[in-house]
Amino acid sequence: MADILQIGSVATSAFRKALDVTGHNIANVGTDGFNRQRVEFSSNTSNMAGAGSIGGGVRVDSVERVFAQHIQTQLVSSSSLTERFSQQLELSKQLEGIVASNDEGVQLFMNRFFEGMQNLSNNPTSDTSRRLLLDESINMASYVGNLNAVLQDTNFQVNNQIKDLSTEINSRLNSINHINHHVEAALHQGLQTPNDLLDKRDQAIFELAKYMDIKTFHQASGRVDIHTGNGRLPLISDGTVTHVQADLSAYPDEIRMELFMTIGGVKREISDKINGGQLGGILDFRSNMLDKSMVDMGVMLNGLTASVNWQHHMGYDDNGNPGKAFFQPLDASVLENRHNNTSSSDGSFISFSFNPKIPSTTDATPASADFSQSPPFNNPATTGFPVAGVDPQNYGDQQLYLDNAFRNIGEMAAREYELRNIDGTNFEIRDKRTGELLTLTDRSVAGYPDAPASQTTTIVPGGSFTIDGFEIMIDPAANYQANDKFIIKPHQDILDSFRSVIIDPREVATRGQSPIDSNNDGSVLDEVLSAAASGDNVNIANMASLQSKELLFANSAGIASETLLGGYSKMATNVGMYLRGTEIQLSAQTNVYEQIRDRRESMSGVSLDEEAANLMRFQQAFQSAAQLISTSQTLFQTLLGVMSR
Amino acid sequence: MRVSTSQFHDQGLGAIQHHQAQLLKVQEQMSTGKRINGPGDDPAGMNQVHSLNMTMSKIEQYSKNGEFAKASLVLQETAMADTINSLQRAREIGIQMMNDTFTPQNRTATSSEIGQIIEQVRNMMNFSNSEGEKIFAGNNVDVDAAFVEDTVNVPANNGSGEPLLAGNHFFAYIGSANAGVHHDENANYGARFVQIGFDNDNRVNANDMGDPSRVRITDNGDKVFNIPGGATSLPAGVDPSILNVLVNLKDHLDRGIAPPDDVIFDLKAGIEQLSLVRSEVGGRQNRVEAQHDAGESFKMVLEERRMNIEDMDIVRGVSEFTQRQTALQMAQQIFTRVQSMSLFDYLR
Repeated sequence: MADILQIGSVATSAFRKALDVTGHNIANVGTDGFNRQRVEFSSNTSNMAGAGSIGGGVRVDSVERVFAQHIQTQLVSSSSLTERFSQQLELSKQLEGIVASNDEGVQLFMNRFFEGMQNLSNNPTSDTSRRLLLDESINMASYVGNLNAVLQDTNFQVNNQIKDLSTEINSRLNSINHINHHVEAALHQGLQTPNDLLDKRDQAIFELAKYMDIKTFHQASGRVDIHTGNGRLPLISDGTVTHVQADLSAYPDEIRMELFMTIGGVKREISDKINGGQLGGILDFRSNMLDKSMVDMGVMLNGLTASVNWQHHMGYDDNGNPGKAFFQPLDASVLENRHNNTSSSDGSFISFSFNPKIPSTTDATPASADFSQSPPFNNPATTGFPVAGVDPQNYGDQQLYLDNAFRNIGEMAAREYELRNIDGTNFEIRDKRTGELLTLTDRSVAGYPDAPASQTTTIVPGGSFTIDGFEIMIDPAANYQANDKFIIKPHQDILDSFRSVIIDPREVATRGQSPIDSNNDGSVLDEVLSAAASGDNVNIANMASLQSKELLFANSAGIASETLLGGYSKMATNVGMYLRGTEIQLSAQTNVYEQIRDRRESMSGVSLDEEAANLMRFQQAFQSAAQLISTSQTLFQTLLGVMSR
Repeated sequence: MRVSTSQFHDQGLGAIQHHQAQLLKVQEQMSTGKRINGPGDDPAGMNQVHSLNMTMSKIEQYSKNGEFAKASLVLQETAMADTINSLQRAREIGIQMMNDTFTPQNRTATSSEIGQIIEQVRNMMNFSNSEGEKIFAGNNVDVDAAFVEDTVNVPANNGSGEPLLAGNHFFAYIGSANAGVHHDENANYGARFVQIGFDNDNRVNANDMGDPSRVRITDNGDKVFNIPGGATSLPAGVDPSILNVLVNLKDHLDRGIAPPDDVIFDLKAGIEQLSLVRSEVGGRQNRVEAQHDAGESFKMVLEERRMNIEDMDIVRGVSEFTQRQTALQMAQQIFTRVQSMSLFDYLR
């Protein structure tokens, strides 16, 4: 039976508890992920005492945390996306900075390179002008080299970040799994809900979601299962943790970090399944901005190298020798897959380069042997020149080669390639990114390049094929097995190898074909190849004109749409577009996140004023309850006093 | 609505950071004077700025090319003007010497002056520019001389049937077969074209024709110094150049005989041809000038467009800066005020 003393003493202890909880709330005002707690009171059952029911005082039912799972789930997923875009923005700002700070430099030096050609074209016999042109080309190459170095650094930084993040993710997974066990144990023993443990787990999940997008599944036992890849890849399931692994891609020489998971004993690449969190941001940045910028830049450099080289091949240098390569020509590396058949040859038997060869017009039945000359303009001083079916027979033939070079440059596309053996002999080639099967042009068909191009999707070793303007040749002597795979990145390779290879200023081919029309038919196209006199500037003037010529990104009719600098500008524009897009996404996502965070804070956040009020309220209540005890004491003393009288 | 303490804090801090970021942006734009400081600021505008810059830098280069072309053309004009003066003096002497009042002795004495004129004219015809290039040798700019001794027509007569006296010989342009070992067909082509404007196909052909965007800065010696339609005073086979007419005049004077009328006519025809070529060279200079002016006014239009796209409107920048600054100060003040509001202050 409850009396005033009992009611008083139970109430003091209840309010004591309430004060404790208030204290706990105040103490955790700065704790991340803390949900405010509240004491649930209820009145004790009454006793029937003759006159009516008298209550039995107060009782603490439970300490509840003020928490809504749906808000928390939204908070987790919106924070995951916010983190993704903010990571994307951070990295793309970094890249934008690199591009912007080098931008004027690249433009300036490209312009100066062509200005050097104009000056040399004014003054083709001047040794100083020749030297200046070479200096400008070295300056330009070193600027491009700087830009490339920073891009490569960014690539390494991305690789490291992926590795570091995978370590972080794994440690979070371990700790969530650990908390899972504790929560299960606590609930199993029928104890009160372990509020602070749940807060800790929610916070750990919240932080995990900052690294990658996850989906949570709450089990009846109190355990939380965590999946990624839109819920398809289990990270924590049935109390077991599946760790993510950062490792090099299937093409080890590519040095590209990817994420893997071992599911059912099979190691799977999961990089493309991650869309959120910092990891999602990094991966998106890498494939949509970094790779793209490098490829865009590479297309421009491939166009520059090929056009300058081939126009240079048309001319003759100070000594009357035909022009050599001006820039280091492309020689793309063919990287092999680590799962290729062990008996297969490596990529060195496959060549991928720029070589716009065509059969000589005097050769009625072209075969692949006709393409043996590279570059095709043998020194006219060599005995036996021109060899039928190998060398250009006259100036008109030579111009056809140049036209074909420009046509091939226009065909260059901003993509990387995957080469796959289909049946142990023949190959097919796909876009590495989209997996689209690509068509090649078979050059060994009569009438190339003017006749309707002969298209195929099969590369026969020993044949002569072009893909997007590049020549691909596979040595029939090599041994390849079905499903052997290789990747080719011509535009990244040119970034690394771009440099000018002419050292002697006298080797700049300023003069062109001799204007002498020996048969007086009004055209020099039928004249045999020979150099004009040293004062001629036709070839260097044509090289200088490459600055204004639209060379890149031809349409299906072969009409190019961009100049070389336009190609560079396209890269800078793409960088800007990506950055702008990310900025907009981030600000939208941040707004969503802030809304939800407000909702959460409004519900679960600690308000110090509220706690101050509670403090006063419970303190007052405590004091009043204590007064009950004191009153009971007085009553008792009064009774005692009556007895002793 | 219930408000938690961190909401106050987050909102205050968020506002301050937002205004700071905006202020930083305006600060960057104000201090660089540019609205576009990176590709992300305006990707489409950036692309336009790139192509405007490229076009302007090309116009500048064309104008530099024009300067160079003008210098070469002026040099050519000077050499021709000098030659015309020399020829006029030779013609005066020739006309004087036709007069019968002069004795053979007088004529022999004047021949040495003609000898000097021949040297002077030959020098001008073999004129080199500062790079050491012969300006009247077509493409063969690196030869020792554009006009060499005629080694084919030996012995030659002086047009009056007499063989040339010892010490006198005719000259031949290196593009003519008369130059013997020095003969080179290339000297008849002078494809030195300098680009002074935009080219529609960005291509110049090997046929010595040039195209409208370019100006020719070298000429072939035979075109400038040969008498059109041939020199009547000279024997057949010899180059009909004014230099050879002078040699003929000197040979007659050396013999003490009056120069024939043909010599005087040929000199006149030579002077007329030179004046014609000279006015053509002047015309090329005018073309360079006109292209330069057109380029400059085009460039001004482009520059204005670039400024509109890329540069910061300073007035707008200043007002935006002030606005952002005020907003930031407000946010800071509100933050400190809100932070000082607490019920705990009243718990004593």
